[in-house]
Amino acid sequence: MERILEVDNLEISFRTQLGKITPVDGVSFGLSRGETLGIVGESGCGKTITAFSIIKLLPKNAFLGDNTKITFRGRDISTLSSEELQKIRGKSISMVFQEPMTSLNPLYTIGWQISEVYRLHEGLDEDAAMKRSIEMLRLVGIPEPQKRVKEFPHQLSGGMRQRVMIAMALACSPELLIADEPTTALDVTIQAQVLELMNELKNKFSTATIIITHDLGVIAEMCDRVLVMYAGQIVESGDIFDIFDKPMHPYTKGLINSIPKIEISKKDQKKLSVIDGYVPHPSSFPDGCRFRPRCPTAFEKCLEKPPMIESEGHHSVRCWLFEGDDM
Amino acid sequence: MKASPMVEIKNLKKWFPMKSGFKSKSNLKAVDGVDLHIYGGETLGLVGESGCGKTTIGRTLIKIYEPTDGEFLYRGGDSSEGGVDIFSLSESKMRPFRREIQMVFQDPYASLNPRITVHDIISEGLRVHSMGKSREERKSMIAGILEKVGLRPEYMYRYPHEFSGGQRQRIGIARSMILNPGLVICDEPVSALDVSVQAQVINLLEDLKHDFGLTYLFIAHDLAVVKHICDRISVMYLGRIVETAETDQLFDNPLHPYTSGLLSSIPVPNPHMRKIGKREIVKGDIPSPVDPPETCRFVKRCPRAFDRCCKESPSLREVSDGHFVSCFLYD
Repeated sequence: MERILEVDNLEISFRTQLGKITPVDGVSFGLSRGETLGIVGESGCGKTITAFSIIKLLPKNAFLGDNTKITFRGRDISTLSSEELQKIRGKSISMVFQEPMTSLNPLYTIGWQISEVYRLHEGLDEDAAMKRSIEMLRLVGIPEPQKRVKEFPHQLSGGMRQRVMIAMALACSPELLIADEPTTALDVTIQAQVLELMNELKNKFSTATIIITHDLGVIAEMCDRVLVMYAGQIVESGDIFDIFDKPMHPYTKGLINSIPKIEISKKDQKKLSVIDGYVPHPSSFPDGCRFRPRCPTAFEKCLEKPPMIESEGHHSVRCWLFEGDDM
Repeated sequence: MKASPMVEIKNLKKWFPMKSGFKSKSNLKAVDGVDLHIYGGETLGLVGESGCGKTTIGRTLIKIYEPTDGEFLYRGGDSSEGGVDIFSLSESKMRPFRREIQMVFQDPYASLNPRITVHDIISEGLRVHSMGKSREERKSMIAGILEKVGLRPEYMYRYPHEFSGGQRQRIGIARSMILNPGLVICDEPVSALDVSVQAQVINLLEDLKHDFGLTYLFIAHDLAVVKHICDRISVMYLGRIVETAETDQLFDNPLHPYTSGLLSSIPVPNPHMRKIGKREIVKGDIPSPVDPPETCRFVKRCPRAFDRCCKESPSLREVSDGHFVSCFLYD
């Protein structure tokens, strides 16, 4: 499959009152056409800003490291001017945000907001753009789209708004879709509707997708490959089945074991195993392995920074336990 | 299970009147005729999607909201044989039950007063209920409970902002547990927490229940958590209970079409059990609870609805031992 995105040695730092903090560093990954990549981790692990950095949606006080290179279809994103970026955003790369409530403009009808994409990127006139918008709304399963285009975001339910967001994101058939916690704000029956829709559309357009979530259930349902992030670094990456069947990093194992198992009956449920302690703040990441203070299997070597160690089948782990397993 | 329940809630209603211009007055029927019973020592789960009224039930039970109608019989503590109807008590007569029935709130950021120390937060209940003879005694009680919930006693002079989300939730739990309650209403106690911290708090709640012999009403929307912690589960939809059963019974043999749709909607964290493309989808959105029609509340989204469902409203009936469902399919 054609490789469309390459992120190499991503480092994101912020200038703050407390000095420079670096919440993401040494993150590398790639994505092929039609592939769905999941980024999973707890709050503050850097998963959202990692994805935002791909289309340069970072706050003003953020800057990328000198060795960071992000290539989208062979072009280095960091060298693009803001006009050139504008052409990519919404057309080749688009996003679905977590909060459908705050990411739609309350002052414009949803029809206007979707047709804006067509007017800007495809130069369509208002009527033609509106027609395409109605088509798109029908595609994402909104009933009576001719009527709905004239409505404002507040007239729609949460699930409907998220469908509108998806319609807008997919309007120009992007090559890359970044979905940041696309179903976290939704109820479970509505979440199921939206996940089904995303899956259907992905198969139809073979869009490469990055799904950012803390929900291992969503990851297991949707993704081909997974990156597990902890404290600003990838600690493990691999094929979805490898990650769930043979997790290697103690954090991945801990994460999988700490969620209640819905597939196991009540009488067979065991006490949840826990990861002791709390997620560290980016201003005070521990030296060496960042998971060391919470790790049940930490040893002396963990005071040094572990490298990413690749084992078979593109399954990589950042942990000294697997040193020498190199293949 | 024990013969007579510790808590019996009968026909509980909580309506919020709405102003609507020239139209006649309408009511938001957040809770509309709910029957629940909770046995001593068990954990009853109350699940449902946002807006179904589960949080309103929890809040009405401790009279944060004044109930519109219904009875709340409580047989815990030193009350008489037949139990007391909490809703009929005056504020002063209710005082001992305010200690007996405690609540753990969802949002560990909003539920702790940011301007007072942990010591003051926890000791307030002790002073109100005249527990602990002296300042010193109260202080040692607080140190004890902090240790019990996994916090260092020397943290008691810190302020809430100095703690993480999980630690704050422990403080909220300590505040409830120190009063030696009989019934604890946990309103989404772990839904604001990260997965690794969520597991810590779930284990803590289970340990405390075991050590203090507590009874929980556990309100949540995460069915995996509910399955793990609850003995029995009641499923709510738009202000009413649609199904109540023992946990495994409910998961293995859901009767109400809403329950089976809800269970099928959950993404399972196991890629070998992918349901994408083959799950039973509950279509449509949750309708508005403002003046809902007197039919089955689920009729518009139900794949198995028939004539009768659009005309009458089903009531909650016991169809097999301990399995209650409110659906005409089982009439």
